Amino acid sequence: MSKYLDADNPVDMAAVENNYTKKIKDAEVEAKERADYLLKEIRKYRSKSFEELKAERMRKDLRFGNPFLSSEDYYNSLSEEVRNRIIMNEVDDRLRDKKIGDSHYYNLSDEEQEKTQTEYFNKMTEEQKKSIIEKDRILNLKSIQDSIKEIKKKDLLYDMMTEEQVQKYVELYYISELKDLLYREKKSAIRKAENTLEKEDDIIPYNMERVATIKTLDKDDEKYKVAKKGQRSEIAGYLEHVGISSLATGGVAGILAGAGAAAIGEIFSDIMPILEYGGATAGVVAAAVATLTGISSIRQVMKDKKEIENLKKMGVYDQFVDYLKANKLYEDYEEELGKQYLPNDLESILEDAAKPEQLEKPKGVSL
Amino acid sequence: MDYTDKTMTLENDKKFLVIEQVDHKDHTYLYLVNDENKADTMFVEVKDDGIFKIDPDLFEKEIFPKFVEKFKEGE
Repeated sequence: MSKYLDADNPVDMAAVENNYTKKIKDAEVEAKERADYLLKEIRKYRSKSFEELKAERMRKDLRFGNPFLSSEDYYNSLSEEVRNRIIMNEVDDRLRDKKIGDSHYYNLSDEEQEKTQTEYFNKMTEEQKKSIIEKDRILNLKSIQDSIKEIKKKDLLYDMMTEEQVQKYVELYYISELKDLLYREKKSAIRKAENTLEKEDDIIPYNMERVATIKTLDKDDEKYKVAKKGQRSEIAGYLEHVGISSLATGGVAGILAGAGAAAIGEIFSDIMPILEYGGATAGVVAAAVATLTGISSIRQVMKDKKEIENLKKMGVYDQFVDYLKANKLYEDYEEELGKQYLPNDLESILEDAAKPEQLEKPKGVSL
Repeated sequence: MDYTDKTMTLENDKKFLVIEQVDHKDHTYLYLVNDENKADTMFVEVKDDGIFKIDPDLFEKEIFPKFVEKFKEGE
């Protein structure tokens, strides 16, 4: 799949289709699991009396203390460890919005938070601690009472239903859950698409594509400052000479890039052997050979009549030929030479004749 | 921001020297040369934390002539 989805690309569209199908299947599975759980719960409610269900729930809720006891008895029934844990949780809540020194409590490290909690705890009176435990008891009591009410409601509801109604109820529940899951999925997809569009609006005035992320941008480095204006003017001369038509095929043209590399050849002559030709002309020769992709671009120069003429006009054609010979490219170039200097019309006639549609034309058919 | 003569390290850890910069219509374009391989050069647009390809048409008609002007300033 390409980086950006393309509605005209069948691979992209197949991926979207597969993704969509998978999401529907996932939602169906999840909704089924939820419906199965509901059915299991209804069965449980229908098989037990309210008192049994209530007792079951109480056993769970009373594991951490019985809030139906009196305040004093509740306090005493809890171990010191449990009491301290309840108090520390409350202390943590109280400190949450507080400023501790120059920082906020929630910005402190775990160790610093723990230290602050302990300091707060140690400053509390026994009465304050007991009042926190009492608050905990009342909250637990309320929670248990709420859950008992809930049990009673469900017990009544599920008991009143016929088996057919149970089936229908679970079925409707499944459909409602599925719709809900798919709706959320759709909303998330829309949000994602909107975000993508916003980002594209931000970045793309010219349909630009990211080449790379910059990891670091270093400070001025004196050793590079040798690429000064004088050398840059060499680039300008070459750029003007070859014209910009050769750039039409892309933002980064090999020849042009070579020109840039050549112009700063004085600095980097240890890298590019061709730059050993030295002097002002080195820039031009290297322009033809020191390219983004190396040899492949030299071959482009070899095939381009206009480039060859440029090299001749600039008086560096001989160096170019020397370079080709030194790099075992001259034979290929000779072959290209034969093609290059054919008359323009003859060249195009030969090219046309080589086109497949011309070769495959049925015999005996006149146009 | 002036990027000229600065070096930037890209996500592939290649280090590039900024040879020339052109600011044009609120956009900044750079001519970069790879520190390790001087034949590896490129014209790009720089934005925030990344570099981007330039639309060829825009480059030929508007950006490239600006680079030529900048390069000629040293003559």
